[in-house]
Amino acid sequence: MKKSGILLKGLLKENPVFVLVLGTCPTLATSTSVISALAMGIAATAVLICSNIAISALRNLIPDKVRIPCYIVVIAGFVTIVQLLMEAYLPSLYEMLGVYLALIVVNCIILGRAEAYANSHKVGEAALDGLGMGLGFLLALLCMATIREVFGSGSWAGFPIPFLKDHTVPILTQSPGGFLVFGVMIAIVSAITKGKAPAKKSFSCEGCPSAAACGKLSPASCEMSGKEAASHD
Amino acid sequence: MKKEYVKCIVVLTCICLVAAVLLAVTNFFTSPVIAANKEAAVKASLQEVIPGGSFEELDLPENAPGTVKAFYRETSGKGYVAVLSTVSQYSNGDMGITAAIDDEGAISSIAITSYFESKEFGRTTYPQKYYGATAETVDTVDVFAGATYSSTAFRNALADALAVYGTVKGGD
Repeated sequence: MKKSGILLKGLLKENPVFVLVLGTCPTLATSTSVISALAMGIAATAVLICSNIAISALRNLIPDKVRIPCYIVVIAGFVTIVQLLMEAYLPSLYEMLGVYLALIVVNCIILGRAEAYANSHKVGEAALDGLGMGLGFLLALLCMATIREVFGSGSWAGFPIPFLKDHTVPILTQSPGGFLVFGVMIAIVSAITKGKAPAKKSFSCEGCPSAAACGKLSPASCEMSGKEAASHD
Repeated sequence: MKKEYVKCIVVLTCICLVAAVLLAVTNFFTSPVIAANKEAAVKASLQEVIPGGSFEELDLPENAPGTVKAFYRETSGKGYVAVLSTVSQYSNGDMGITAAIDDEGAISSIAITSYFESKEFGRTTYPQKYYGATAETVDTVDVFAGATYSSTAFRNALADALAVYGTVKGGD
């Protein structure tokens, strides 16, 4: 794949939030305002790039049996560094993100990309993948936050918007509104990609971190399990 | 097989050590800044609970509970301020509270300096439930359900502040 392709796929075709449906918890929690969404997006992107680089660089050294604990240590290390830096130099943003900053450690996007991409690609490609996926996460957060803040609070990044500030839809700033906007955004992205994106190999059954454990690692059995699942729907 | 296990242990240990060194270096540079930020937040909270006040830090009594980190007297007689820090089960950091106590021994104002739970809900209204509470009545304040650890921690911290107030006033 071309380098630009690796970078751009995370923005829409394989957007981690709207297509892969990963990182839903921080997306819903921090998209109530544009500022917190921006902060979370940048923090997660920094961790994603650094962890992808480290895991790719160590991919030939890490034994398969301990790869998940190794990934968790690497990711937790970078998250704690970002957390300490934010607490020191951006204290208001640190407090705004609260517990969700520490929860980047268990963000499925980061562990998912480590397992599905970084551990089998060169450092440069893994860094580009981290950047692309991080930007995709950031873009998704900003889209969600813009809709929720503009219509839910009548402001954008804290700046009041005339007319809208007096005609808000408060439910958009609450959890049900988050799910509502999330569903609409998934539908829009699915319509744009014509629903073809989820068939891609990198995030199908085969790319799943638990594929080896569930015994459906081969493409044929994955395909079969997909059909079985469809027949049960 | 044995070799494989040794390799697993060595690699994981090395990664942990490198991560620990990186964290230690980051902590070395950020901890003074974080401490200064916290001190500035406490100073700002003193002005929040008693606006325009000037404060004199008092020595804590020997038997002061660990939750009470500092105790101040407003020099023009507007009351006292306790700086509190308590643990909260569901968050990744301590809960920081600054509480003003008037000359009648009742809580007159509360500012929260650090809180990592669902801060959008009740951050303003919840502390206000304790306004007017004294050492005798603080346990009877009707909190939401009283079922969460943080509610109990919050109330216990305020009770500790009122206990220290009692000791300080008794010694005046």
